[in-house]
Amino acid sequence: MKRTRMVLAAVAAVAMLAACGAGSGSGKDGGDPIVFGGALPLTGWGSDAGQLNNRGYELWVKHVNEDGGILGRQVELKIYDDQSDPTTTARLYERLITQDQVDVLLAPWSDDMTMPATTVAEKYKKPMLTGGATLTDIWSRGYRYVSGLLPSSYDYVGVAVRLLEGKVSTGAVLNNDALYTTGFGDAAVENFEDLGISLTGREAYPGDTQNFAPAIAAVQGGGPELLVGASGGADDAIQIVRAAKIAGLSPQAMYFTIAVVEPDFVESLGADAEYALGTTEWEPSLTELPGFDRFVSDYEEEYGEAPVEDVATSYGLAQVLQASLEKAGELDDEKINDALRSMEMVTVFGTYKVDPETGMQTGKEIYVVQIQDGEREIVWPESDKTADLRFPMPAWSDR
Amino acid sequence: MELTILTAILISGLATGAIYALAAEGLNLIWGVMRVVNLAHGELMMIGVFISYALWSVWGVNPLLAAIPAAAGLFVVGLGIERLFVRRVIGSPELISLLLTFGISIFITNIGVLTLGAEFKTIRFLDEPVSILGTALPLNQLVMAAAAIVLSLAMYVVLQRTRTGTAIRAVAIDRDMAQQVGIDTKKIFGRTFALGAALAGVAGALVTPLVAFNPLIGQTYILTAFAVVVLGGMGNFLGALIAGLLIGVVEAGVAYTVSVQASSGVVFLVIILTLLFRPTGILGARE
Repeated sequence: MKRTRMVLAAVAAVAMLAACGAGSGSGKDGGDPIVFGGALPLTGWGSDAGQLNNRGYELWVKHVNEDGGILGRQVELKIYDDQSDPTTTARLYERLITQDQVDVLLAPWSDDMTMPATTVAEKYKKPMLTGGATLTDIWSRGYRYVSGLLPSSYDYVGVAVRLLEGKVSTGAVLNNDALYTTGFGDAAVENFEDLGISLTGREAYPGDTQNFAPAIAAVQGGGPELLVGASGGADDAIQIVRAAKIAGLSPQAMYFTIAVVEPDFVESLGADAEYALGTTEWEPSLTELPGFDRFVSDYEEEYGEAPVEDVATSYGLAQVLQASLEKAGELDDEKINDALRSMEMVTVFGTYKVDPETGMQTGKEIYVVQIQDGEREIVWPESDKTADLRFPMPAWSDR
Repeated sequence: MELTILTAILISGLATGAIYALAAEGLNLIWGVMRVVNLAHGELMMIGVFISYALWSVWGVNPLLAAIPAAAGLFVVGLGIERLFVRRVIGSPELISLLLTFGISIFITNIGVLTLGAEFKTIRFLDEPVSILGTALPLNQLVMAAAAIVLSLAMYVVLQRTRTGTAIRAVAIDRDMAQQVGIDTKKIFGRTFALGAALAGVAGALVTPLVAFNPLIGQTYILTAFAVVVLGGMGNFLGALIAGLLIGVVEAGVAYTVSVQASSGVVFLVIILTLLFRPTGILGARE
């Protein structure tokens, strides 16, 4: 008898706790905060970008709450660490949607993590605006609930290659073998074909490669005039440059994805970083973007350094989501999704406009940058450039 | 095959292999003497990397010199880990020590990420090309490899010629008999683990100028270290040195002739093939 009573008491206690938990989750009346939830690579190979994206989200939450929230309610952030593992990302988004029942989904980072996350979102018909992801496949699966903040890798890489049209006739590609960097590599090859640049060599390398000499040797033989390094971050690009210098591989231009905007690239390489080209979708010199001053000054105050592209990406993404909620007028997934597919706006990150059919970004500006005298200058497009393109890059032995 | 490619494979392969060997020797020692599988060995190497990095960033100490405090620091860390944790599983089946050290490795990795961040760092030291038979190789790689080989041989001499070294070998051959002849096995276990950790620390210090590293770098080296130990014969010190060099050369060979991606599978293949066809290793395990 006593035992049965204890069991009943335990069951009742658990049921009560569960009810409390469910209560706070489902009570969406005026006072409760709107929960924005997502998973980012706070650790693992994507952690550089993951941490920066997280800061962007956190800064946005701070600002939006200072301004009175959305639809009269404060905003709360719920970010999980997916440890740069796509399987974990999928699991976490399932959890965010089914268990945590967050109101709005925030984007993960990189194509690798975004592919499974978008599949989960689509399954539950919960709108997702992707952030740091550019693989065209994301928007060519016929998904209805996925829209993109960033343009596809074809253009992300393309603008840099197109800038060199007529200047180089041969090129080689090295790419990190992660999904997103392989996508960059593929985009480079496609652009080479379109522009009549002959591909003299292509080599993929595992993300944890310690020795880049074999990769450089694999592409050196063709004497490429343009070397494209589809790097995942600064670390592999840095090692590629160093290995190229040792091996005496002196192309006329070197272009790296992502790496060039990371402060580490210039800090570690010093003078060897000169002439390196990169692409970015946000630069600290674009001061006319809305909300720019507040974004930059508050970030600098909090973190003691200037914000970079990844921070602006997540901040801008959250701004677009905010606008979609305001346009929908309520937390209705269908209305929010319709808003995301039809809206046009400019955020601190730049223009947002997607193809209503596929959700792929069509309006975002992309900039080509180059390291000149230790600084990152915009060399294209003409309307935003801060310096002229320096071409060709002198041979290592002449520098 | 062109001479330059062959030279590149041989020399850069031996260079990376020398580091693999040094990284594995500590693991080998611990496994051979204590029958403990130290899955945290990569993390011990990582600590060595960061000691070297810290000394470089703050005082500009070059990694060759930093190897000394790295060795000393890891010796102490090793003594601590052995006394607190490993001691309890000596004598138990290998699986138990594997689980324990796996837990320790996760713990150390996460502390590393929490305190140091997960961003990659690099340092530049002797980053100049040296031309050998038409192939350009980085000077730092050659210097560190030479240091690694010298230290490995020095360790070998310590094991063969010193009292402690002989005692360690005795315990490895027959623990009970060693105790019977008056060797303090408990002390030897402590010193062995500490020496193994110190070797990992030195390997870490030497590798610092060669790669981009973060607190997760231990995970890259542990698999290779295992392959070296398996191929060299568990407990066989010279075997580990030769195995390390061999794996380095085979890996370079595949990277240059097939593809870089294929070369990362070499290590797995080595483990599988050795276990299938010659489980005692190329030189045979210690009896």
